[in-house]
Parts: sequence; structure tokens; C-alpha cells
Amino acid sequence: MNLSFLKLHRSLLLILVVMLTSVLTLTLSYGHYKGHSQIDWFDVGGEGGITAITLLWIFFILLSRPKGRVTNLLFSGLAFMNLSMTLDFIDEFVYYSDEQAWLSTIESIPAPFGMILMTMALYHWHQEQMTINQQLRNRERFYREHQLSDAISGLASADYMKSQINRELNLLHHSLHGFSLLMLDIAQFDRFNRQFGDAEGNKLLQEFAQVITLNVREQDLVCRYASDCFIVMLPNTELAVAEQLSMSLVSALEAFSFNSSDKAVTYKQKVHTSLVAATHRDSTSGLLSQLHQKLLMNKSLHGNTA
Amino acid sequence: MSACLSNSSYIDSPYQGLQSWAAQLVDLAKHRGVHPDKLLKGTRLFYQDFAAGKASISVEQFYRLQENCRQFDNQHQLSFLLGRKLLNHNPLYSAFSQAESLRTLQKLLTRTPLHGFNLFNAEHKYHQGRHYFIINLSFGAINAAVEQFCCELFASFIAATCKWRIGNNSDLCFSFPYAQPTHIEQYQTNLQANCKFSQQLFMVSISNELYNKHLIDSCPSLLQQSLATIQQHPLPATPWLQLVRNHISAQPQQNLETVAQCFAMSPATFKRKLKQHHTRFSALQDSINRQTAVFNIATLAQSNETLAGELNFSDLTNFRRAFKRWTGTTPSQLRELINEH
Repeated sequence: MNLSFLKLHRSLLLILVVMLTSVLTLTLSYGHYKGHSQIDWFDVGGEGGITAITLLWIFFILLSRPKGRVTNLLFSGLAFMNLSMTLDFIDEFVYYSDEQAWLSTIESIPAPFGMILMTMALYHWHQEQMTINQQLRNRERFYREHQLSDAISGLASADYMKSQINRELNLLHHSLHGFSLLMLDIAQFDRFNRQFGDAEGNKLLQEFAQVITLNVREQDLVCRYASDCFIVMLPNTELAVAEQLSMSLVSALEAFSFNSSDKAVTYKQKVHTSLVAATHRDSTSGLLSQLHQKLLMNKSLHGNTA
Repeated sequence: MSACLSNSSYIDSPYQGLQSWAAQLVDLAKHRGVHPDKLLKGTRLFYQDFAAGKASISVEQFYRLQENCRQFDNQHQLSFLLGRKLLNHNPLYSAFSQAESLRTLQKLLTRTPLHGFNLFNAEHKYHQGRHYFIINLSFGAINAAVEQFCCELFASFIAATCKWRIGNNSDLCFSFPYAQPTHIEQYQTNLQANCKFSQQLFMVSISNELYNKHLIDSCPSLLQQSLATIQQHPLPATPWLQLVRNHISAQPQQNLETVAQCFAMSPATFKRKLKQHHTRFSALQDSINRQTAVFNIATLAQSNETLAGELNFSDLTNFRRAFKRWTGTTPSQLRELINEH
């Protein structure tokens, strides 16, 4: 489990701890113990469980989200709900004298506030998600499955690309133009890795992935095929258009300069490409091997800079 | 017979030098989001031991680690990634960067298989301007998944070395014993060479010209210096299974009892040792014959008669039956299959 986000939320965690300790001290100092026979253990189990689970929800929210308004709203909504639950839970063990009876009357007040805050949070979360979906559109198309994405670049994996090619091949007779596939390969990536190390190599792949994603159209899908090789699927695109897109993508990639982490090296890379347009007779594996053969040919044409 | 009794190592004996490969494999997987504990499950190894340099790993444990990798690495890339890094922390590295030709590299690897390279051994053949290397796993493999992982590992190492030293892989040709896997993209992008599948043997071939090509950035005196360093390292013990294999292929007529005697074991102990290496005597015999038969038919284009004579069969019908047992096909079917490719 990656706990790095938790460090961002020190202040929220502090608020939670202060809230829970003050509630506990307040209730336990004013309340009187009911006595063992008076306690309904069934209720204790139920209410204790709810309290613990809301705490767990808070934990997961903080674990998976960066700072921001939506996180604050989610946190405060859940925290208010948790406050009500905690008061309710402690009620099972203690009773209050008449002067302190207000303590048991207020226990239901935080919960509705919490729920209103949660509702607002969910609305804003929805808005936020729409923005993220927009940013992810070139990486996933219609389907989200985190197991199908590549851990280094964050793009779709080869398996996902294969399933999408399959899908497009099945749909081919419905569309006006066939789809095209573009393969991109970073020249001299091996040498780069040897010279600057794997960590920098991975960073280059990540940034490369971002540049590709920025420079393709809304409907295109980008995947990391394997190693330093990427594939862009261009749906409804004939070869002539695909060639233009490929040229503009290559010039964007070759204009991009990579800065190493210590800012000591600025590196510009060349890319090799190959293009195929799918026809009715093609198969997924056939298309991919055609694409790869063409890439190897282009590489050897351009002076063996593999 | 003394060769049979010389210092040898088993699949479960601690193997010096595998540690750096295993550590790199675990770290590569970790970078790709796989927790080391998951990866080391069932291997009786601990991640902390790698950092402390205390892990002593047997080939069997390394194989278990590969098995776990296959399970958690859904892109099947770890074997290829590790293959590029096999020379890291290896005393052979400096010699590799100075050697004057691929021939020197290959000889070096055969004579001083330091730190893990003993896992593989190659049989060298030459035919019509091409060098062929039939590669065997010296310790055998515990199952098909591990065999595939090892083939990918070594193929990736060869491809990366050729790319590094001669800059171009288009002449390399790999044959793999298994059917084309679904993660063919890893073969295409990592090896960038011709790959043939369902070939019944693991083999790599290269043209004589490239094999002997003088590598420009080599330096003979630095090479001598690195060789002197390499010679200070003790040679790893020869894998026991490889000794048995060599013995069987040199003396194909001997039966199990005679071979067991050569290895100073009772037939029962000998069988048990083979079982520990996940193989049997007859399986070893068959695999040796299969390699010769497939190579001679597919590459040398020998006729059945010549091949039967070479393998000491007096009768062609017997030969065909045996061939079918080794390869699952008849000689003529195999020829058809090759012509299709």
C-alpha cells in the first residue's frame, strides 16, 4: 500500500484526533458508568462497528486523494458523521446527570450536516472526475481497468491495444474509412539507458508518453507496446491523413527536450515510425507484425541508429 | 571417468552469483508495482537479505522466483528487462566491452561462465556461412513456464549484447522450442531479430561475417587486463545435469546402470538425483536425440538415411518411430513445417 498521500493530510489528521479526544474527554468526564448489567452488547457491536467503519472510510479517502476542496469536503462530511456515531456509541456505556443531558440531545445534530457536506463533496467529485476523464480520453477510450495499464508510462498496455484493434477490425465494415496504426520507437534508447540509468530511462518514457498524448486527436488511443515502443490507434483515418498526423507527432517529439532530474543533461531524441492501414482481411497479430517489420525497415534505412 | 566425479553442483545447491540477478529481478518488479514479498513467496528468501548481501540462492530458488514473476507480471516483460542487465556486477563486463569480436565474447562466456552464466550452455555448429548455437539449460527447468522465462532471459541478453557491440540485430535468428506466445510484442521490440517458434529447440544463429567482425571500440591490452582479473575468480562448479547430458551424448549406447556407475552412484540414487532435476534418464536421451535430429533435418537438410546412420539406427522404420517419439512429428512432416515457414 502506498502511504505517500497520507503525509499531505497532517492537518486533517490532527483535526480528527483533536475532535475525537475532546469528545471522549467531555463525555467520559461528565458521564457516569451505566454498570455492566445495563449495557446492551448487541447495540455496542452495531454502533461500534459503524463508528470504526466511518473511520476506515476517512482513512481511505485521505490515502487516495491529494489535497484540495473535494478532499476537504469529503473529510469534513465523514468527520461530522463520525462525531454523531461516536457520541451514540459512548451513550451505550455512560448516562448523564440532568444538567449534562444536552450531551445526549446534541448527538444527532452533526450527522445531517455531515450528510449535506458529503452530498456537496460527491457533486464536486463528479465535476472533478469529468475533468480527469477528459484528460484520460487518449489513454483509455471506453473502458477502465487499472490492470490493463502500464505501470511505467501510465498508458494502456499492449493487451488492451490488441483488444481494441480486435474491436475495430470487427467494426470495420460499418465505418467509412478504415483505421490506421502508428508505431513510434525512440532511437538509441538502449544507449540512453546505459548512459543515464534506468530511473532516467523510465522518466523519459513517462514524459514521452505525455508528449504523445498531448499531440494526438480526441478519438485516438495511445499505448505503450513494449519497451521503448508506442502505438497510436487512429480510428476512422485513412493512410494519407495518418501520414500527416504521424509527421506532426514526430516533429513534436523531436522538438521535445528531456531534462534529467539533476538538470545536468538536456537530451533530444530521434524517433522512428511506421504506419499501416487496416483492411478487412487483416488480423490483429498480422497488423502488429506488419507494423513492426516496417519499423525495422525504416530503422535500417535511417542509418542503423537502433 | 574422472570428469564425471569432478566438482559439480546440483539444482538445489547454493550458487554463487545468482544473487545479483535475483536482486535485480526483484527490484525491476518492484518498480513495476509488484511487492517484493509477493515475488519471494515460496522461495524461502527475504528482501532484506538482498540488501545485506546475505542471500545465497540456489538455481531452484531462482526458478521459483521466475515462476512468481510470470504470475504477477502481466506484460511478461521482466525476463527481457533482466536479460539486458545480466552483465551488471559481473566480472565479465569489462572484458565484454573490450573484446575484438563476437567470437571472443562467445569463447569467453563458454570458458569462464562467471556469476550465473553457468545456467546456460551452448553447443556450437557451423554450416554454410552461419554459426549455430543450440542452447541448453545446464540445470534443466522445473516446468515449461520457467523454461520459457530462461529462453527469453538469455535471448534478450544475446540481443542486447549484439546491439551494444555491433549495433544491429537484423542478422540474428532465434528459434524457440515453444509455440508463439501472446506477448509477441516483447520479442519484437526487445530482440529486434528474426524469431521462429515451435522449433523444438532453443537456438540462435549468426552469419560468419558478423561473428568475426572486428569491433571498432575494442582494445587488446585492456582486454588482457580484464582477462587477468577474470582469472582470479574461481570457476563455478559444473552443473551435474550438464555433466550427465555430456556423458550421454558422448556415449549414447550406455544404459542407466552404466552411466550411474560412472557418476559413482547406485542406479536408485542416480534416478532420484535426476528426479530432483525434474527429468528422467530416457527424457534426457530423447532430448539429446531430438536436438540432433531437428537440427540435422531443419538446418543441414539431411536425408533420413544419413541421419539414421549418424544416430546409429540400422533400420529406417525404427528410426521413424523413434523420431516420432522425440518430436511428435514424422521427419517428412517436420520438413513440410519448415518449408511453410
